[in-house]
Amino acid sequence: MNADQLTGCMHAVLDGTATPEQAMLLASVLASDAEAAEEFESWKAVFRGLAAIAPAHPPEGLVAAIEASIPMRPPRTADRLAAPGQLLPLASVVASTQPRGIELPARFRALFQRPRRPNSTQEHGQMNVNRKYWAGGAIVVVALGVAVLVSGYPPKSDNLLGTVVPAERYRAPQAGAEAIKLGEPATAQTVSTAAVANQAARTEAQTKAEQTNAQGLAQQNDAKNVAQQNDAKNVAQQNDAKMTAQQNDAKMTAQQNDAKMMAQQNDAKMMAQQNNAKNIAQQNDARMQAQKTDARMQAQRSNTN
Amino acid sequence: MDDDDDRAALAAFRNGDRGAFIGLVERYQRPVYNAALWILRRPEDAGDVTQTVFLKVIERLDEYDPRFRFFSWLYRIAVNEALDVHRRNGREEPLAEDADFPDADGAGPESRLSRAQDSERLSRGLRRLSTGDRTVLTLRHFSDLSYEEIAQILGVDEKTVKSRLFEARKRLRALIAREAVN
Repeated sequence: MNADQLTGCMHAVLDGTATPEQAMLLASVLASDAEAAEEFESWKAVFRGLAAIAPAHPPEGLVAAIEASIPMRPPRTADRLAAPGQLLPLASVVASTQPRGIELPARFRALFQRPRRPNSTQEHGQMNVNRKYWAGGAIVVVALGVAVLVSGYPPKSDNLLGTVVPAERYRAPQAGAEAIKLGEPATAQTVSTAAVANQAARTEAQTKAEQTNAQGLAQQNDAKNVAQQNDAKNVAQQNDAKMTAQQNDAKMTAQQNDAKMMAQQNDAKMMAQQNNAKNIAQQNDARMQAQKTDARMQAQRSNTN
Repeated sequence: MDDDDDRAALAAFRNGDRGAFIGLVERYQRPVYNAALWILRRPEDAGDVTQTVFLKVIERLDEYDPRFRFFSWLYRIAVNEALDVHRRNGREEPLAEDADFPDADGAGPESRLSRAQDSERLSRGLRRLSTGDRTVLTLRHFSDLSYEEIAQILGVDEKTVKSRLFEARKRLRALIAREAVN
C-alpha cells in the first residue's frame, strides 16, 4: 500500500464510508507504524474541525423577503403548459370559464383579447372579423380628424379680424303707471307663488349640503377604520415574525445539540476503532509470539532428536 | 420533517397553499445560505442567491422528480446558482476577513482555547481554497450529502467526487499547517 492509498483509507474510515476490510487493514497498519498513526491523528483533527463548524445564520428578514416574492397564486402545470389547441384537464377548463369581474358581450370581448395565432379555419375567420372591427374604428377616427381640419374649428387667432365694440344691451320698454292696476288678486297670487318657489329651492340646497357633509363624515370614518385595520394587521405580522424568530432559534439550538452529539458519537466511534486496532495488533503480536515459541520448541525438539 | 413531508408540502403549494412553501423556505434557508456562503464567501451574495434559489424552485416545480430527495434537487439549484454568480463576478473576490463566517461550535472545556485556534486556522484555510475545493468540501462536510448526491449535483461520477474530495482535503490540511507555522 502506497502513501496515497493509505491516506485514502484513512479518509474513508474517518468519513464513515470505509469497508470492513479497509478498517481492518488500517488498524493493522496503525498498530505497527508510528508515523502512520501520527498522520492519522492529524487527519482526525481536520475531520473533527470540519464537523465542529456550525452553520452561519442567514440574514434576518430573508424568509420575509422570499415570502414577499412568492406569487399569490402558485403556478399550476395546466396554466403553464396550456397552448392553443391543446387539451386541458377538466378542472382547469371549468376554472378558466368562470366569470371574472365585468362580463362583456362576446364580440366586444374579442376586441380586448390578446392576439394569438389561429389554429383553425374558424378561428381564422373570427380574427378577420376582429380586424374588420379595428379597421372600422380606425376609419371613423381618421374621418373625424379630417372633418375637424376641414371645418376650421376651433378658429385660429389669425382668422379673428374686426373691431371690438361694447355690446349693445337690449332694453325692453318700461312699464308706465298706466300699466299697473292695483287691487287685482291675480298679481298678489303670482308674487306669493314665486316666494314659495324660492323657499323650496333654499331648502333643497340646504338638504344637499347636509348630505354632502354626511358623506364626508362617512368617508372620514371609513378611512379611520381602514387605518385601524392596517395597524392591527401590522401588529399581527410583527407578532408572527417574533414567533417565527423564536421557532428558528429553537431549531438552531436543536441543530447545534445534534451536531455536538454527532461529534461525540464520531469521537466514540474513532476511539472504538482505535481500540479494535490495538486489540488486533495485540492479537497479532500474541500470534507471532506463539508462532515464535512454537518454532523454538520445534527447533529444540529437532535438536533433541 | 422528512422527504415525504417535503413532497406533501410541495403538493399543498401546487394547490394554492403558500404557507406550505414558506415552511420549506424556513426549513432549508439555512443550509442553502451556507452552501452559497462557502462558495461565494460574501454574505450579501449568499443572501441574494438564497432568495433566487427559492424563486427558481417555484418556476421549475414541474421539473422536480419526486423519486429523488427534494433537498438534493434544491441543493443542485443552489450550487449551480452560486457557481453562476461566481462566474458572472469573473474572478475570485478578495477575502472578507471580517465577514460573518461560521466558526467552530463550542468545544469541550478542557481544550476550548486550543480547539478555537485550530478552528480559526481551519476556517481561514477553507476560505483560501479554490472554489471547486470549497464546493465539494461544503457539500460533503457541511451538507452531509452522499457521494452519489454530490455527483448528481456537480454532474460528475462518484469516483471523481472521491478524487476531488481527497485532493481538497490534502490542500486544506496543507493550508492549515501553513497557518500554524505563521
